[in-house]
Amino acid sequence: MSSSAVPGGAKTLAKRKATQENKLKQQLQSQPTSTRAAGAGGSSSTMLKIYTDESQGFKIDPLVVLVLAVSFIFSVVLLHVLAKVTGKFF
Amino acid sequence: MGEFDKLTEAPVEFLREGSQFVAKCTKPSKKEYLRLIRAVGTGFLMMGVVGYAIKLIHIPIRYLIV
Amino acid sequence: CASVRLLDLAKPFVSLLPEVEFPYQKIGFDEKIVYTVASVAVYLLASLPLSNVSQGRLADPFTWLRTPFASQAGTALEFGLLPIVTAGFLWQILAGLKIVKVSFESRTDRELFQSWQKLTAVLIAVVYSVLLTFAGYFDPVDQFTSQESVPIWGRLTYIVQLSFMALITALLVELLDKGYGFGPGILALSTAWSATQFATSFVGITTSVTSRGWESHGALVQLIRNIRNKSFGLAIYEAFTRENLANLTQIYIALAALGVAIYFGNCRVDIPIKSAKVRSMASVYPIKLLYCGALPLVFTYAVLYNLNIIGFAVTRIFNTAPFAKYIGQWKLDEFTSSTYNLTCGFLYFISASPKNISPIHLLVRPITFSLFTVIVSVLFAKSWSNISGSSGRDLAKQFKEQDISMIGHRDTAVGKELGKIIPVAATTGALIVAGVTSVAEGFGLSNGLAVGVLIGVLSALTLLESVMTEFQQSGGMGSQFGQLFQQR
Repeated sequence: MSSSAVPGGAKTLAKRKATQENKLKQQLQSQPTSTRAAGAGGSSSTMLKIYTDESQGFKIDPLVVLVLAVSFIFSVVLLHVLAKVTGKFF
Repeated sequence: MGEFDKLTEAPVEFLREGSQFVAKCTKPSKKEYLRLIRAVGTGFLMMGVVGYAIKLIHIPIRYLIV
Repeated sequence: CASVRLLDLAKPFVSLLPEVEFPYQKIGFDEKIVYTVASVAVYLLASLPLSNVSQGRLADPFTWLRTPFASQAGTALEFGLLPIVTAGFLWQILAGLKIVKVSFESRTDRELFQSWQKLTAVLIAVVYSVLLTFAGYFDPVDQFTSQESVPIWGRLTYIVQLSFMALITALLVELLDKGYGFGPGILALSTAWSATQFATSFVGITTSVTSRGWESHGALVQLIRNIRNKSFGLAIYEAFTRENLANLTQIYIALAALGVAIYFGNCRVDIPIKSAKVRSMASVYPIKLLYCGALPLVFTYAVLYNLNIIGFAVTRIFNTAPFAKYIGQWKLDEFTSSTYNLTCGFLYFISASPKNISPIHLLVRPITFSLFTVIVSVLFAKSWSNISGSSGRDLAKQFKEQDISMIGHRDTAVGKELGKIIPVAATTGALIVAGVTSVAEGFGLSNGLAVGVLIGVLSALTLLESVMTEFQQSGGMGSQFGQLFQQR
């Protein structure tokens, strides 16, 4: 009936809600989807960097990793030798 | 027919944009390219030879275990 | 919200997972080299036969997929980098497509995300080793002639060895990723492996016994050996066509792939930029044609490798089921009995196996293989820049932080302009790399060496870049950069 919109009416409310929703949507969209986008290192376009954060697990020194790997190799060799010596399967 | 057009449109557009991009690219000159090939090629082969040398340690180990 | 997030399910396991600690201080250039070489050397040495597996009598269905993932049949590196690569891609894509909600701004979420990746890698190794064990993959192919059979606890050792190796590999990758060495660890290990593989195939002097007697691993060495012993024509012919070990055809295809990779790896579009801080300092920011480097191809091959392992295991375990032959059929190679060849089924059509009796299949397969490779690579490249945080918008944000502006564009338009260029670069680059792979591998002549070299060289170019920046930074030239990195 009235051609002019009532200020502060339902329409404005709807509009406000819409802009708010849009804002939220935009925020949601601009949320980082990777560790790199969040500014914490990680995979880039050409690189697949997987482990760049320090988490709650028990911490080990890099040298321990290398020693662990070498001792693993030795244990595999040892298993072979044992199997060969005893003639059985372990 | 319209469906088919739609189906072919995307790849054609993609190829057109792609070839435009490639045409815009700065490509290595022949001299630069030969230098790169030599550098990267020998580097790659050297790395491989070192890796191969490391793997030679396996020969006595395999002799021990097999 | 009430429901438990998938991400939080890792919490009980987190404290059990070993974790490489961050370096207390910045690792020097020389130290980085030592750590990188040591990790690679240890990794290479791990390619020992698994205990209870006689490697020589194992037939391998996955030869053509192995080189990029640094894996070797019947050894502790049976899966190589595959579990880690798969877990990495899987979680990044799940998070990128927002299937799993991860808020990367929160530290705990990032940590959980990373723990999941490691946990998944080990789980994949466990599942695959169980599957392959039940599929009889580790049994010697001449089982009927040999009486011995491996008892159940012997089989258990495969699973233990392989899952432990997956954990160790993850830790080695982590060591390199966290800045002790030149990372990404995956690319470093993959490059070193494919280079080693290439050198072995080219100039390897070690020998293996074959049906034709002792033969050298290196194709070139074998050629020289052949020329000495046999007639000239036969010598050349055999050096180009032998099937059990690397031949010269493969070497030439690999060399061609290397050349193409280097050429396209150095194509770029230079975007003129200027810094707001330093006046009159105009410069260029290169956007590479191969914007995603080797990753689209790594992803495609990871998909193929995973499908093949699952397919092989499932068709072996349920070999009587009618659906098995539609998935794929593997036949033991009757000349060498050291490989299984895919001959039929869905997986045949997306493989590089040239073995089939039906000529129609033979004609169709290279086309379907190429289509698969190209489509998967391009689709991956299209979404990866967004997923991984290197899209035009992310780059524009970086520019803003460093007060860099594009010449000829307003600051607000930078993101839009880069957003136009980057997807085209990424997809076109992926198309080129996938196309080269299709040509090199599609006819089944190369048996995985070419794609290994292709990925290896592209990864090497990526690594070289990070090594160079590192070198410049530690070499006094960019002390500011050095400070910046120390602040982290």
